[in-house]
Amino acid sequence: MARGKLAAISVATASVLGTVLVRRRRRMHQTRVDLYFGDGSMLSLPDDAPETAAILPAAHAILAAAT
Amino acid sequence: MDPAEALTDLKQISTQVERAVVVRNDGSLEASTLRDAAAAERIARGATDLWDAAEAARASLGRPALSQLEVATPGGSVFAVRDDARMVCAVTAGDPTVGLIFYDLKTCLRNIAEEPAEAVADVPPEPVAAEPATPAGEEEPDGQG
Repeated sequence: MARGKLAAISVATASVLGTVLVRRRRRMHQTRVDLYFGDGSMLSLPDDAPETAAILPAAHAILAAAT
Repeated sequence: MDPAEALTDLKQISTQVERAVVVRNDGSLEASTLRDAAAAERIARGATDLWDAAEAARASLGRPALSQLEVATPGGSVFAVRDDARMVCAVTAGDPTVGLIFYDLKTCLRNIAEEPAEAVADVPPEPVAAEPATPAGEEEPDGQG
């Protein structure tokens, strides 16, 4: 009985950990633009947004100059 | 605080910041952590372009004034924070601690905006009491008999 509980907890923990790691890894490989405004709000633009396309060239130029 | 000094502090505080520049709002480079002046100029120009593009996006989206931004790419992240006089732009490796970077950049800007100690002390020095004059005919003892 106790062994069954332990196994269930282990599976649940591993599942949560795996989800966190996968999300973190996916996030690392995504391009996004986060804009923060004076009123405290924030807008995250995905990589396929037209605004992102206008902003990305400057960011790439900065990253290229920084290496 | 001097902008170069503020950037030195930033680099010491934030190990995630790889490169950083301070750019005045007219686009001129004020200080950088790079030894290569041409690269620093390119980053300063890029930072101004980045802010202008973000500002255009903000306007088209009908949002309030922009205060800071992050562009995250697989190759690294670019951060920019601006106040009334200047902007600090920093480059980090991938997956940085976003809140911490913004906090450190804002601290950097605040340090630069602080009035320098010399300016605060720029008041006429108080007169120093003159030493009492030696009476005529008396000599200062010189300890040599």
